[in-house]
Amino acid sequence: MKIYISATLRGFFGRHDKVELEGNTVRSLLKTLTDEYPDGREALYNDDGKLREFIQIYVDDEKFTTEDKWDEDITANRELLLIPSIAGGAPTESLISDERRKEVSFDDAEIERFNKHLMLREIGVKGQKRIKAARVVIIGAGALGSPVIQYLAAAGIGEIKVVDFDEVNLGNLQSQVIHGKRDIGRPKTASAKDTIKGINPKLTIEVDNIKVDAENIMEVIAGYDVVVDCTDNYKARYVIGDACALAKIPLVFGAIYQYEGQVGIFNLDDGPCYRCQFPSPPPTGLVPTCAEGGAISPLPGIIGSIQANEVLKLIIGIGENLSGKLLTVDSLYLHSNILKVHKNDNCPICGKKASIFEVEDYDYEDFCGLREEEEEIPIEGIEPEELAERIERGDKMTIVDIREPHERAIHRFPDVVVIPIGQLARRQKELDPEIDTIFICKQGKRSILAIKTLREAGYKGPLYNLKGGIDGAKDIIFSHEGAWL
Amino acid sequence: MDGKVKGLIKRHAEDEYPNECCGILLGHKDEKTIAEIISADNVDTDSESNIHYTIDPLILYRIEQESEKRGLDVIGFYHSHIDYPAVLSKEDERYMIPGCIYAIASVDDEKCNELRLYYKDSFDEDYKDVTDTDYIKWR
Repeated sequence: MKIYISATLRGFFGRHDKVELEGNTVRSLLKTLTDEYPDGREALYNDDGKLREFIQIYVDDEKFTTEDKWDEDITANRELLLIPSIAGGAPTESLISDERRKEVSFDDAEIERFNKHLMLREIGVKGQKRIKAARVVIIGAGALGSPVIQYLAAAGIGEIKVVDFDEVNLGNLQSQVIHGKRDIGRPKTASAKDTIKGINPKLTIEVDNIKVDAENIMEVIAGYDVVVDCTDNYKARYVIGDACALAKIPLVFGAIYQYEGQVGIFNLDDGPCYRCQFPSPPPTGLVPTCAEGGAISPLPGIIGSIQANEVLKLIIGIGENLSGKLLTVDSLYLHSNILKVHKNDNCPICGKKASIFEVEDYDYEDFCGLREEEEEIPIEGIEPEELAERIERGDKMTIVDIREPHERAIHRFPDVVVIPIGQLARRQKELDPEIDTIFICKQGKRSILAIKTLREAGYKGPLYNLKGGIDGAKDIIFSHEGAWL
Repeated sequence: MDGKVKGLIKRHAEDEYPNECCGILLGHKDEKTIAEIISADNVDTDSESNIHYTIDPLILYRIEQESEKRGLDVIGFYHSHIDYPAVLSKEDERYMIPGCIYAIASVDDEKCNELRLYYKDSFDEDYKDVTDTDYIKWR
């Protein structure tokens, strides 16, 4: 059988254009050919032994590239052709249309300000114009929002909206570097706006001092090119993820926990959405949902900077991005990984049989069984004032602190029993069923879980939940506090 | 941009705007010259033709045989990028055959103002920008 080798591949086959070989299938001919020309094997196959993407095999004028045809008897044919498929294309398309880019111009100060971008061939004037034409909304002006907002402002994003409902407190300053000591007590949005005005007063900045929910989210994101999720809770993430999927706005998602972080892009060009990857929140108790899990200071800086970088790449249309992928970074042991995220055909939002057509508030409390009023046996709560009085009186009772070790540093109670939730069932003998047992946690939600766990484990004694947890008790002065304050 | 052949690529790229154009560079391998071009149809579907190009392998086969009869070698390929710089995309890189020259014309708003040449020696090697080198001569 005659084998024709394309001019483009002859360098790997001793410069021959035609080779005559014995064999009656594509497989046997390829084997004989590559045995004779080892360089040719490298040209045809990649390191995994698969045919290279650009190699096409024809027998006369019929395509035989796929391996399922390689065992067919082809002795009746004349010639086997090895030809490359010549293909390629422009890099990823930008989120910003050419029309919008062309409406933008720069003054001399801007040329000077952005010269480090203008120097990069992939960005240049056109890329910088796209950045200036872009409109980005950042939800959450906390730990992740701090780098995202500041870098996007510094990079020259023309229009930025910052959404947050919270006020700055002292505990924020460890990682929320967009705020300063003087901002304590101010809305985070106001503080963030001041900081970026300081970077570039020419930017258009809008702030929304609200908590995103099903009611307001569509309005929050309408008309923006990219949404950046910098929130710290599942409820907001599902509201944002669902809204962006429905509005078909690309979402750059980021999350941190202790030493680890994640970044991903959803809803880009029909790519997977947030629910394709996370159909539902993690099971109860897996992560401390109602309390801060804590995070090392620079971690949000790392993760947020990657988010900002992804936003810019999408806007300019360069490089490879995290659409359909989830980057995980472990800052403690310096591992990183890129996981594949597949589009889920059964996804309730973007799947073939979608069932969600408008954003609904994701009932996270309900999902996790944290809802108090729906308890079959109501869980009895105790007000912080009452607890203070009972401690004062020296009532006989057991106080169980189920907070994480680092949380217990905030407010210590005398004579408490410390039992993590996971050990409660096993250690129930440490509790006296004849007297009241009162559970305390940060916000009074994990303690409900603790009580449910104990009841399920068969504990019969009276159990109480400190309503609102330690947070709810912060205005009460307990007499024992003097001992350590 | 000078030279007759460069001018032809430029014109082809501008004519095809807003779609990507593509074609084959012919010349003399031993003398390292590009002597002429043959335009090829971009067989990618309409919706993709502004960001992708593909040359039908059987067309390439026919052109190879015809040009060899005229004493010309296939030196490489050219295509255009629409409103985007003449840099190799990841996809361009993946389809790069070692030993072939790849020319990219950047067309911005119907005007082609950049033409760059790329090349790689072997599969394990990174590509080189050989635009302003004497690696290849234009006729």
